[in-house]
Amino acid sequence: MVAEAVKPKAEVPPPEKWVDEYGDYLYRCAFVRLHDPELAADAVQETLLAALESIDRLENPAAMKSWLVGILKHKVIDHFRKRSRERPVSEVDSSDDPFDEFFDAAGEWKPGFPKDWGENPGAELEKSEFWSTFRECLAKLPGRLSQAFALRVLDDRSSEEVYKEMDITPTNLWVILYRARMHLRRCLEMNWFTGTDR
Amino acid sequence: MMISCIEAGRLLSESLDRKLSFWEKVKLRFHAFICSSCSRGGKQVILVDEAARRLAANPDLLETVAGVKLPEKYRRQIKEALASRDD
Repeated sequence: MVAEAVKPKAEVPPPEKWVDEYGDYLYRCAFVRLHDPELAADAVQETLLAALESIDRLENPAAMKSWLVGILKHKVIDHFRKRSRERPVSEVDSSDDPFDEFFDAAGEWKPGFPKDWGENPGAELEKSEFWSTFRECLAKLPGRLSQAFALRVLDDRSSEEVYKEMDITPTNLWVILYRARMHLRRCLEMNWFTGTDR
Repeated sequence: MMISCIEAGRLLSESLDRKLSFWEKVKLRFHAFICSSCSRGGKQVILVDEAARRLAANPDLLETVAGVKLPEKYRRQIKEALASRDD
């Protein structure tokens, strides 16, 4: 037992290797949430500096990567908080509304929508090019929608955590997430699945 | 009992975020049963959610085609920041 406690420490690479070892992975994690190279790189830097300060608290060196991702997610939330303070986001704004294009006044789908995505749209997720399009669609989400979607779906936090974090009502959160999903649905339809319309 | 497609879509989306009540489930299922557009759109929305979760679990999916990686100038900058703190 004692021997085990001494040994694993050696598995953590020295800090000068961290950027090469974890930099790209952390950057991708940050980029899908922040969509901006500079913001994403800042989050990576803050994450690694925080890790340096608290490396003694890492209990299982084999879990270094997921430990870093945990820190990164907190750094991303810090960024969201800062942005919300600068630009409050509590109101639901109808300009984020992706519905008029597809639904008529009675709230029914307009003729021709939603388009056919083919027999097996799930198979598209196996194509590497799909992810380039998907990332671009994520990046196009309006700020508050993007933030809610990142916390709820990408981070897989509970609805309760997310509406408390964003300081909005549960109903507001659900409307925002519905809009985010509809935006993404439309974006994929236009930029990926249009070719499969038949 | 009858709800619009917008409402059905909202319930479908909410079913991914909370537990629907019994009646909400009945309304949603009934609507999807009689409305092929919503049935299709609902499946698409679920696929969107699944794709996002898959990307979150494996951000390296962005490596091959999108070539997303830490840009060189930030790489250097972060190395320097780490070196200056690590003594």
